[in-house]
Amino acid sequence: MDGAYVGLAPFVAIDGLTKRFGDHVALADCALAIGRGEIVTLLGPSGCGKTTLLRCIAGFAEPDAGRIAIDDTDTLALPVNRRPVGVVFQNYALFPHLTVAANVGYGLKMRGVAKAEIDRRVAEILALVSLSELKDRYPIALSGGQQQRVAVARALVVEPKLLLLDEAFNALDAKLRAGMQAELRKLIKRLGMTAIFVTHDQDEALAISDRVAVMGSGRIAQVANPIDIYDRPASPYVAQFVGTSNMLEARASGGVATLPGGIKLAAPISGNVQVLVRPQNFEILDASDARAGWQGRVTFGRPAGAIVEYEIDAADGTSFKIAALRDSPAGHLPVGAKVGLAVRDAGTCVVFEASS
Amino acid sequence: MLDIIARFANGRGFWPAIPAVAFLTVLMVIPLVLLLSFGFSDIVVSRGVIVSQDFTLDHLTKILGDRLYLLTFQRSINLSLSVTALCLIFGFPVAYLYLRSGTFARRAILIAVIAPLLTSGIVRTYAWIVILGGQRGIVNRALLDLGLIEAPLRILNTHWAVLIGMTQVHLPLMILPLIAVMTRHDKALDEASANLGASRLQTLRHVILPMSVPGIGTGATLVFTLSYTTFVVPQLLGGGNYLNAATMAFEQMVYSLEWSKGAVTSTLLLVTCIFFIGLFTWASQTTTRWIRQEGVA
Ligand SMILES: Nc1ncnc2c1ncn2[C@@H]1O[C@H](COP(=O)(O)OP(=O)(O)OP(=O)(O)O)[C@@H](O)[C@H]1O
Ligand SMILES: [Mg+2]
Repeated sequence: MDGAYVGLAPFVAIDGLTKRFGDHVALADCALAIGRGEIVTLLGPSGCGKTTLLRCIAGFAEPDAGRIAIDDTDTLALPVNRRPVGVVFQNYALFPHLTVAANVGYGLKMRGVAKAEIDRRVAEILALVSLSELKDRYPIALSGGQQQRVAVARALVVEPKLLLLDEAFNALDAKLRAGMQAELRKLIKRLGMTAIFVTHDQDEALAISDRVAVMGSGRIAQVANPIDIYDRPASPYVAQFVGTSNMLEARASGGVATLPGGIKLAAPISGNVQVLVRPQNFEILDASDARAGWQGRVTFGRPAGAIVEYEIDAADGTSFKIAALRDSPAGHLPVGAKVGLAVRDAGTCVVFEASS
Repeated sequence: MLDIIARFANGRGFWPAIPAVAFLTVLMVIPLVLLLSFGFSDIVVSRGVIVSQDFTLDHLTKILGDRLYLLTFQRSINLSLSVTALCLIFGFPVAYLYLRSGTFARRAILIAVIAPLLTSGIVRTYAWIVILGGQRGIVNRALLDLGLIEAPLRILNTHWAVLIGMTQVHLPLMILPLIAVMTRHDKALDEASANLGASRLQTLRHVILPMSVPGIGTGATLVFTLSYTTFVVPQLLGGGNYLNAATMAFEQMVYSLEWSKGAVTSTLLLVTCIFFIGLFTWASQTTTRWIRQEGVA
């Protein structure tokens, strides 16, 4: 399978995991395999079961069925405090009555490590996350970014086999967030740690992970590297959840689907199909241009950095989301302008069976 | 004038406290000062009206030199500290159970804790007479019937009855502040603690207990103050044999009409009580600071 884990026995193997809350199925037969040293992100809309999956791995929730093995050890058989799993909580859950150093040293202390050894390892990990000067502060006197680093240090210092981070960047502002994502990725890679991140922010997922697992209503819809998730989504659900997408109706026969404008696409199926075309894969032409597959009117335009995002409504009512470079001829279209649209590259379109 | 009203209305400074201060001054501070002044003067009462009041320190010096008072106050302090300790020992597990319970059990615990407060302390104390009382008391009957004892135990009208009754009557006042702490307790902290390798007991010891210190301080202050100043429970369960400082003040004022002596006893009661409240507050703050500094948690 494309982008699936390839290698020896996976380091983390989740199989058939199911969790119900009364009638509500929060996890339905989830399977996920993760290699040693890999960073995987669970990406999905709110309520799709991401947190529930993490809580099952950490032992805070008990699945109704399924199997979780970490490094060939049945993890579900272990009590919460024996699992080789470190968690960075959504709101960090730092102990308010303990200093930064005591928070970080907590796990070692619970394991009965000698005081001198605790001090040494805490100092080491605090240096790693550049928090050495703040070791005597209390959590309440730290900024959001500092609290996050304490939470990460606290989870890492006990050397878990697997690190779990639930929406670890939510409390940070956009700029700091990008910085922390890069920093944390580097740190995890340097330590050779295996990690699962949870997020509903696709930019974060694409920025931080080796592979992305897209979830929808308790199921894992696709697991692949970030580029494949975007370029070769396995289903319309994934296509629509990741990035901006245009789903066009078309008919396929004899292994070929044809879009307006004479664009031909290879289609493995026949009958009604849906075709995914990304916003930047459209060319904006003059309304009279013969190459145009659609004629439409600009109804909305919004500059976003180097590009402009347009909404263009075709005569038949279809609404297109189109991106154009701002310094191209199509970069300054007024609302109401009449334009023609054509697909640039048939190779990057994806054909799906039409949902009935 | 408008200025004052404006300041009053915007709720800044001490203005909003004025009504309460005025109320307390008229209804509490003035009568209290009058009462306490009796302790520092010779008064002559005629037909329930004070006809003369002359300043003197005689009552105070006499009482301070009297061993009876020393013993009585010691007994009061011992009793109140014991009740406070027992309330903590019995109360904390209830609060912990509350923390670990689901919504329904939490409601049940809360009702069980609050319900006794809806009954007067006097009624609850009488109930202990039925339970502990002589040969026919529930405790003695059960023990006799089981053949565990030959003769009925003498519990009622002793120190033990007072201790047991007072602990039960004041227990909710220890539990409620603790439950308030538990309600605010963030479950994610327990999960974090477990995730870092702590057993349930370690989490209790290193996370929940240290974070309950302010609640313990409040509960201890309430229980101590009430145990130290009540004369109802000692009178009913002590059977008139049991003299604590509050009972002594009550008897001097109401029965023997020694108002000056009673006023001195009351003054001492007030001063020592304030001292202990200060002590509890200090202890609670120091403990919190100590937990933080030493990282003992
Ligand atoms: N303790 C619970 N009792 C009942 N239902 C629950 C419980 N925990 C979660 N659920 C339900 O399970 C589903 C999945 O919840 P979960 O918290 O895993 O979502 P999520 O993907 O983490 O969402 P978000 O991005 O909003 O955090 C939700 O519909 C939620 O309402
Ligand atoms: Mg969640």
